[in-house]
Amino acid sequence: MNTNDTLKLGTFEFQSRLLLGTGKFSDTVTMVSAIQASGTQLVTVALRRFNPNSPSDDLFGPLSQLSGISIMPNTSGARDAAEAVRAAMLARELSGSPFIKLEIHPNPDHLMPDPIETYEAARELVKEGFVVLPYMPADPVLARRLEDVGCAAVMPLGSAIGSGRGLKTADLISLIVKESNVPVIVDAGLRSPSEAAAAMELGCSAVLVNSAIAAAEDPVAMAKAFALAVQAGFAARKAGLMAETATASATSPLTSFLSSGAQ
Amino acid sequence: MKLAVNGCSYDYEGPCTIGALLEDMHADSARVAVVLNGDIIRRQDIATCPVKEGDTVEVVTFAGGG
Repeated sequence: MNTNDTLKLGTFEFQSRLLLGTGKFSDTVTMVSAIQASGTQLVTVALRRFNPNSPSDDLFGPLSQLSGISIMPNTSGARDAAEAVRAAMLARELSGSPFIKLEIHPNPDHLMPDPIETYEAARELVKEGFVVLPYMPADPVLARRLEDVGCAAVMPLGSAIGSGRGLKTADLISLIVKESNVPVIVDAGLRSPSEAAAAMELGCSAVLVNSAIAAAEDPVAMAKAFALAVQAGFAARKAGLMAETATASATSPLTSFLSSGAQ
Repeated sequence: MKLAVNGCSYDYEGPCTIGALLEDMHADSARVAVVLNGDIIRRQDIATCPVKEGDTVEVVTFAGGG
């Protein structure tokens, strides 16, 4: 568990514990405003073929207006380790960013990450000097293996990408938090700020949110709400939650002065 | 010359460099990465890297993604 005031990824430190995805926004003005409202310092982007007929696809312009924001390209679209490594190299050539969000999901129907290819690619990318943040199933054994090969964080899913089904993997994420020496970042599936707060209360170091903000009725207001929730959840974790009990434990003195025989 | 650019056939008659090809495509060379016949072209080499008949070129940039 990370209770330091900064989020450390490799040798890099961030004040914000909310990472933002840039997909699904209705327009780039809204995206930029949401990024600013969220206070994030690390945003993900995807690689796509250049399309001269769709200049709005290009995020370089909008993102370059923002100061204090680091870019973390993802390897979305990669179906195996070789494709992911290739995408990462290309992204680094394009952005110069040391960060890579490693994601390998061969089946577009459910977008579940391939643990074997993710592990192989992580090992290779760490050797290539990347700060590797792998999107992964909520599996404590795999988390340990990814930490052992040098990943800067592990990013277990809360539920399926873009599903908004929330923190279905809470018990497994707790196990990962307990056993990890690198930041644990919940990536994918969150819908509401309360789920982000819950992830932080479990001891996660950060959350990565995209659809929940981009597809909200008011993405900018939702970005602010997530920022507050992440701060609240982190503060709560640091404060230490009370112990649970199976039965009631009175908060007021149960004296008997109201009973009929009282003097 | 005929090239395959981003999966499509591309008729190109300009100077035989990647830099000139990108200009022809209205792509800002500072905002794209280029793969030529499977090899990633280093940023500093994009302007002068030669292209020839039948080459396969991928030009990529960043788009929104989570």
